Amino acid sequence: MSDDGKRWVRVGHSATAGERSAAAEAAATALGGPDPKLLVVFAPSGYSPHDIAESINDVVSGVPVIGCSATGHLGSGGRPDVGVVVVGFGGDFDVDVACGTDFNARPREVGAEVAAALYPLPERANHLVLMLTDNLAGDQQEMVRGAYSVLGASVPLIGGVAGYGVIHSPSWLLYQGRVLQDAVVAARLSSDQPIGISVKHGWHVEGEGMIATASVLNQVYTLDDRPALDVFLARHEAPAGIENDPDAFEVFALGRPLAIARRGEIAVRHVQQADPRTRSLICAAAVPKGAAVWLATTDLESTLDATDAACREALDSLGDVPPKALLIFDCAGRRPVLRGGGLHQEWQRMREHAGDLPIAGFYGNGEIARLRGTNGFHNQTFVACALG
Amino acid sequence: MTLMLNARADQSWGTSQLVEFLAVLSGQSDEAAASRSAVERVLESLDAEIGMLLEPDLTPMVVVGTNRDDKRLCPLIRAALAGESATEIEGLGECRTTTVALGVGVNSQRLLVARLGTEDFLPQELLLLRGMAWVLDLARRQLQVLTALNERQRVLEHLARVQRGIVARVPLPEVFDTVTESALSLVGSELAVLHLLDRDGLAVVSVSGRATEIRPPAWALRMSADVAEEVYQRDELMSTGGMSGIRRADHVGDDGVARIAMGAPVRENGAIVGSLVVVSPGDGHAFAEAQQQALRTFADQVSVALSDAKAQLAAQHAVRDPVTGLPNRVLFLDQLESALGTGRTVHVIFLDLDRFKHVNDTLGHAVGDDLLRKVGRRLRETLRGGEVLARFGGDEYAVLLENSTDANARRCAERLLSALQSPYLVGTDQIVVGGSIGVASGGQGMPASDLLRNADTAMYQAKRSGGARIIAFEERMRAVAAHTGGIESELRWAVENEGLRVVFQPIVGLRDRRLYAAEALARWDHPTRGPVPPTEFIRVAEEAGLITQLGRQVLYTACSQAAAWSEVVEEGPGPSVSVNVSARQLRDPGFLTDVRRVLADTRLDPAQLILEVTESTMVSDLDAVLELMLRLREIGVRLAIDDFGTGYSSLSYLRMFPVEILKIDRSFVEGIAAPWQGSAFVQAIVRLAHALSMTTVAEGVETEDQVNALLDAGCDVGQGYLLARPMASADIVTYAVAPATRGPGLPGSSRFRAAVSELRR
Repeated sequence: MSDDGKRWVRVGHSATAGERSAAAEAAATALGGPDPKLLVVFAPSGYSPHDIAESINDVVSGVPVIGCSATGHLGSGGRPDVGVVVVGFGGDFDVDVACGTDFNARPREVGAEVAAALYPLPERANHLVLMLTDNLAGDQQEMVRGAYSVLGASVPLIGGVAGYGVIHSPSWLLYQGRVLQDAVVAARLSSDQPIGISVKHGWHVEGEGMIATASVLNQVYTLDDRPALDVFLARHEAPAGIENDPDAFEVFALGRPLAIARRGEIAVRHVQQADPRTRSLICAAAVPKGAAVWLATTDLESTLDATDAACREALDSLGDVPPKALLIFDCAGRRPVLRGGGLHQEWQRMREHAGDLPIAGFYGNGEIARLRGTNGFHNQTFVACALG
Repeated sequence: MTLMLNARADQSWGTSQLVEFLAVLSGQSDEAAASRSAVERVLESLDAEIGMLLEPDLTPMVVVGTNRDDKRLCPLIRAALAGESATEIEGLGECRTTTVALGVGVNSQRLLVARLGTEDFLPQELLLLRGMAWVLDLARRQLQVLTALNERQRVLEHLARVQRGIVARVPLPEVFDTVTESALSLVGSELAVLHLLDRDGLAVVSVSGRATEIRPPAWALRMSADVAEEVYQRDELMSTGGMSGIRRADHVGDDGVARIAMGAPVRENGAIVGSLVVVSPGDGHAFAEAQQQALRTFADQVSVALSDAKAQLAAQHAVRDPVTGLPNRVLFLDQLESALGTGRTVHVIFLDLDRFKHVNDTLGHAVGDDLLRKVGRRLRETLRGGEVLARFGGDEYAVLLENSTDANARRCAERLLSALQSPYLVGTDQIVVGGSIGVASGGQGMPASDLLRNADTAMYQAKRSGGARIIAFEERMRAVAAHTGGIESELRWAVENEGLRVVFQPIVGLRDRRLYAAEALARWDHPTRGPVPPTEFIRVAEEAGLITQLGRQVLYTACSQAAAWSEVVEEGPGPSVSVNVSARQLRDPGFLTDVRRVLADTRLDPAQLILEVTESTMVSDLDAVLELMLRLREIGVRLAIDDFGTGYSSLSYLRMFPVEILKIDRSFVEGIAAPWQGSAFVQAIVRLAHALSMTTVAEGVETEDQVNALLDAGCDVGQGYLLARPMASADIVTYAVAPATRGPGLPGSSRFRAAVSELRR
């Protein structure tokens, strides 16, 4: 817990058997400070969201609650991956929450509506909007565009896409005791103290670049006029026929994203599925037709370096203001690179930077972080947010 | 934050972004969406936060990254326009700004970009921004064209409906209802009312409304009546915005919603008799120019209907030419029909004055009319009882001879011609005019119009033969056009008698100058005027409905010549031939059959035929054209988009149509060697075309600098005077076989020589 008498952040984590008990325990810890303003819940997608929602509702009494399912989550006690994590914000934070549904059919409108519902902004120096979205929903970048059209350059945006677990189960969102899908939930945190955000991924391009010669939104049909799936399989020397086994392909593709050129840098695009019928690739974010595309690669060191750099940069940007907490939005797609002890090492790196600060976050299926520019949706990326 | 890309990636970033940008904008539904999307994509590409599209007066049209009423916008705009790259934004800190005009001149809109932080815009970022501004300007103009096309199409559909009613002489109230319904739909109003003058003043004769109530509310009718009265008094289009007499309170309906109204005058034979009024929700805003134009058009339709109804009555009595007092065409045809119905042989003598136009042009219409009267009198005096003389307007006269023989008709014609040729004294001028006469005969069962046309055709033949002569109609003349005289008739004759020739302009590889294809171009060498510019005669052919026939001839000639080339070229397929297809040809239901037949007759490999279609043709009737193109592709014919960039240039259409070749309009090629604009855009087009597996052909290549710039942009094929001028078919063979020589010498094989000789014949 961090509490200077004005603002506080507490992280509750419980791995007690049964999601009801775990949620109640974690929430009770998170609510430990005076004047609680907001609870944010992360739990495995396989847990019953209804049980968690009801259980927390019994404890909170009038405190706004948002949350989402995760493919692994982080709490102050370590990287638990099991149990329920609840983050409490209280004291001198000014908070508002909102949600929007029917995301898939109208991503931009939902993004704008949710952002608009967080207005008017109170007379505070800094504002932060935390958005959690549903993995089943559609064009995340378009949702972020909609949110930006309302929030503008003054309000940073962070968050992530709900995870669907290591063993697939539908992702979900929590909003004020309700369980939502195909939706966005959001909270605005306003205070007079600074907020530091950093976004890093640690991927680099490999081999010759190609052009996305046919693509529609997230689906890439051809690269350099050849079927994208065939190019992807050949370049990665994939096992024969793997594209016909969705689970095997997903595991294979997890550590093998695409990269697209963005202002001399690269943005990473997670490959979610293969479509053997059209020989195309389905990515987690848009790959515009005409875009320069590379295969992306990384290793454990680069990945951990990105974690290091993001934590350091986020905390450094607070200047002399002591941090209250470190919020992390990590990607499930980075986990294969971190396997074999890497996850633990990543946690250690975070802990080294944060010291005794509360740390909370989750591994999701896409990260939201709009700090500069307008590109706010990322894949296979690490987002650190230090609250002053 | 991320690893830098290798050099190739960095270089390709700008071009890649332009291609993406173009693709995104072309998918937008309208100008507003394209503008908004453009500003967002610009910010994403430059990693900037605040973007604006500014009107020429610097009013922000689109603002992204903050609110339109943000007080920080003004200093930001001021700083950007002053060229102060670094500036401080309250609450956001230091930032860098830049701005670029969308078009040329002080009246162009501007894109403004602000990036937070201290990082200056790099030269390649500024270059990219200019390219994006240019692409946005282009995309918006294309969307305007499409919107205008769609709007025009809608107007035409409604007008056609009204006109059908007028032509079919449906009762006037029905025509009025059609007009108010159309006006309601096109102007986007909730009420349309037609007011016409009766004995008691302006009365409502037709009302159409969107409201579900059967009767429109009284306040709306009152508002409409006020506007109608104002229009009637002032005799001009009026809207509530420009009317001082209507109080503001009158602009608000009983439902509390503000309304605006506009009325256009309705006339009968030129005099104002009423007004067509529309009422729309709105407050204070004027109607758009397009809405005003639509309302005027429909008011004019009412005027036509009213005048037509009057004229219909009058026409029953108006069967005489007002200048000469002779029967006019209507009466003549009536009498001709009666004569043909008797079963006896009927002759028609068709007479056209020679040099009358010269008299009219030099001495004026009054002298011309006087001459026409004198000619009429003299001709009438030449005829015998029972022979009917008529004047058809212009300088045409006709004589009807009942129960006559060819010899009698000939003698009558000779008398007429002789009488005609004596000098006339008009005022103080002595005028000599000649005449060209055609004679035709017919009997029972022949339509009067056919007999008249035959006589007309014979007369045209007499005129073509130098005038001052009499020619009797023969069946073979049916092919000779003798319709209205002038270039149209001559072109018709030329087309129908295959009097045009086809030349071929090589389309060549820019690197090796090898022949890729040859475009077939029609040429018309007029016997007296000399070569007529293609733009002129193609336009006339379009207007005269000759373009389909002309196109068919060019297609046949092109295919037969290309088939001959194939026989000469010893290795591989022969050169392809490219043929332009007009909009009318595409609409011709027999076009596909024509192409099939020509390919079968000429035995040309379909893959050697390229049909060129312009963009505007493609979008004018999307479904039908797409269907036709797919059929053409099925039989193996290749398709090209001509003049790409001058029409809608829609990428979504490009994806949809089975097009293989994209011809970049000469206007882009002209500027390609200029510092940035031409090459950046051509590069984007070429990359996109390659992405769609299309070949790009640059049109109008005239300098080596352009060739080099095109090659750099990735365009390998071109056409233009630098590369090769249009040439005869035989010379194409020379070009194909010996591209490097370019000279007149022919390659050596005897088979080749023989073939070329054959082609030259």
